[in-house]
Amino acid sequence: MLLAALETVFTLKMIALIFGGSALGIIVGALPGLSATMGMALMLPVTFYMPPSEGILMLLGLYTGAVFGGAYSAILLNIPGAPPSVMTSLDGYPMSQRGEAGRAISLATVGSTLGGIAGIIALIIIAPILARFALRFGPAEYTVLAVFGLSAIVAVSGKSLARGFAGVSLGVLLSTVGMDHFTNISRFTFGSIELMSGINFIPVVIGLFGLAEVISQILETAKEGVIYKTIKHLFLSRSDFLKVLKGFLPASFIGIVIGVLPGAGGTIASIISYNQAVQSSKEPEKFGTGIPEGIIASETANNASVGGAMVPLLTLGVPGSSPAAILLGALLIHNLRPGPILFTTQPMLINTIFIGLMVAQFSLLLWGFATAKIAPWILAVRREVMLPAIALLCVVGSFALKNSFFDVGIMLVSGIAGFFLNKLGVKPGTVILGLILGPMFENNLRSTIEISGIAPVFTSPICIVLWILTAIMILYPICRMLRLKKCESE
Amino acid sequence: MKFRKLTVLFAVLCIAALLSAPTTANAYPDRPITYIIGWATGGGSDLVSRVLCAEAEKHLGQPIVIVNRPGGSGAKAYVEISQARPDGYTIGNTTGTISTHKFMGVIPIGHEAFEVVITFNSDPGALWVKKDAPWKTLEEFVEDARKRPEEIVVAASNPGSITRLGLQLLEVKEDIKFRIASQAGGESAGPGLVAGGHVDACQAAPVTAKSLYDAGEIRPLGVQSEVRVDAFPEIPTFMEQGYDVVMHNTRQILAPKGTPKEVVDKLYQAFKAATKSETFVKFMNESGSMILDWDQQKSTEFLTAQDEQFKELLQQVGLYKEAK
Repeated sequence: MLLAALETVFTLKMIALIFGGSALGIIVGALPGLSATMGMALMLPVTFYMPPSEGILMLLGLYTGAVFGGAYSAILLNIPGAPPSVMTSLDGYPMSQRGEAGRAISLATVGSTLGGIAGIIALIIIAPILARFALRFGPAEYTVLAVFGLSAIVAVSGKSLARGFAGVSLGVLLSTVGMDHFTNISRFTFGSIELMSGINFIPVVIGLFGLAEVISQILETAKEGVIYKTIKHLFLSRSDFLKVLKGFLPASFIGIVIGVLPGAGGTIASIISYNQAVQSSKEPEKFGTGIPEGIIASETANNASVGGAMVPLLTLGVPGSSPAAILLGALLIHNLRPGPILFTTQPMLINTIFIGLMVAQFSLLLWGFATAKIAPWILAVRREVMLPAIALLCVVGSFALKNSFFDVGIMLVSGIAGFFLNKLGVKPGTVILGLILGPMFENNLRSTIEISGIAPVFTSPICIVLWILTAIMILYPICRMLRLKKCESE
Repeated sequence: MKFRKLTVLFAVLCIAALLSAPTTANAYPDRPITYIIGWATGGGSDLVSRVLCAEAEKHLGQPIVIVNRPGGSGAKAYVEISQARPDGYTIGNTTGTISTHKFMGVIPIGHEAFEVVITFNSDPGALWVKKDAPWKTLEEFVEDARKRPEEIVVAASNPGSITRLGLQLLEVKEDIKFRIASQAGGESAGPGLVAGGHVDACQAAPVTAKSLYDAGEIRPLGVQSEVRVDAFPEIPTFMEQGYDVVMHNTRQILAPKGTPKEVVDKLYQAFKAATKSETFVKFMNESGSMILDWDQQKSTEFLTAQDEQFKELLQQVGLYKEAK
């Protein structure tokens, strides 16, 4: 059976479809405002006319590529092309500003590929167990998971924790705008239909990161133009590769576990992984200045979450992410209903999916290395041309999301606000953290209370584990700081 | 370079827009049709519309360009379609929210502000419990709820959603009270919560619950359609179990008011043919969704009746609000 599946995948046509799909995915992922979900929804009608295995494999290639593609714009332009690459820009952009864009892309490539492979291996080996685990996550568990994610505040606030809290609070405040799903009361919408569905975080991300950077580059004319150094190594230097291997295990573990949960996904996986990397590092203060560990933590985790998201989809038919929901649609069109039955009735197809996903990871390696030398050329473009082009990309990207000029407005406001926040020392990452995790915390907490009161948040076993992890994440850096102070005083 | 290309593209688009002056109906359609979806890419309305449009454009001879304008559960798209030029080149789809928005003060318009092209799909509500739940039948469930008011926890979307109204209709008719847990993510979270033992039951359309039902994790107590759903002949309706509860979430295609009759007819024929296409039928059957092909008259009659039902129900549950 495995051999037959191998034969299906390793034909010229199939390989071309997977590699083509992932190339398309990388482009979709790299362009701000275009997401994996969108690219896949647009390609869906095309797959109607293909045999199931071909269509599904192309979509899988696209999905894999799109999750990775966001890293390009995050590294080169400081605009996370897709939500899961928000954390990548924290170290990727500073690194490329030092002239090491090629190195950053290579790191992201290797990290993504390894993370992706780990995710698929987990999918193949322990899918049914993981699926059971995902079902045990109810509103109470998601509430505490959001708190756990919020503990990353320490990792992303930079020097001042107080400013970090200010940033997160701002994000949480913005996330409360819109129709309240529990009471049907509009909050801070001022009668606008646009605001009823809330402030979408993608235009905010584009503004806070991308446009704010453009503004600061225009105003700070004294700043030197971007230097561009060619990378000396074709792939990765030995020491960088060792760093990838070191960061790989925890990051892919986090990516898989969070990816499996239908209520979380790649973005939250990369936040938690980045946080873990900061806390376990000997030099946490170096994160955010452009170090390899930051890129590896984020990119490995978000690609590992792809395999994770496939677990509940294939075993229970519950999509773990919005792109997985489209895959569900693609399977349905071909009369294939995911679930435990699919494993017994269509073992051939399941094997083909596994092998195809694996091939898709290697396509990342090819595209990543092929572009690691070329892509940084974009930074050699003169600033007079480059900055307006980025600004235009910000506008187009925020419009493309919902075809809405309102979102362009949100992006502009966020961009200007982001510039001043940066001046005040509030990192944009903290605002995004609040914006993503705020609603997850609020909705799940209120849902828990509606179901059975607040007790499960403190009594469910998974919650208790998450509370302990949260405590470690917060107390550990504080203890370390105290110890450092003690050493200094002695 | 990028700039120049974009400029050229923009210029071409402008010229194309200028050239496409209003056309006569007998030539309709002689250019692409815009189909507005009021929900995000990848959602239920989006997927079903993409499959349907891919088939319908074969019969129309012109491409259908899908534009997503999510906002206010379709409200933004409804307003936009109603204000478009009534020439058949701007259409879009609805869900049951076309009959709730105007009674909840969201937007002042409902189906009467449109020409309804076709009703192409219906997803009835259904009630699901965990595989090993104590209730074997709907009757046992309802009687238990009567004994223990506000104790049985049922997950059912946000207030005012069609999902929730289906559950509340049962409450009103039987004079019972559940403890309803809102789900910010809509009804799709419900079946997972039931399977994981986090809630006692959930209200969700069969299309949403099918995966976990097929996996044997959850079990239906009844479906709120008049007759059994084709894809689930084994699930009894509420009606046949003696409960007069019928609740559908239907999808229509809308054109702006004043679209010529010939154009609406032509669209109807094309979309009706699309609902019969192999791809669409396969997709809907496998998802567990019902296919309909009601024409303008039948759709309008249905929507008028639905308006009455929803208005009364919203008044009973205290959500009724006059739109400004």
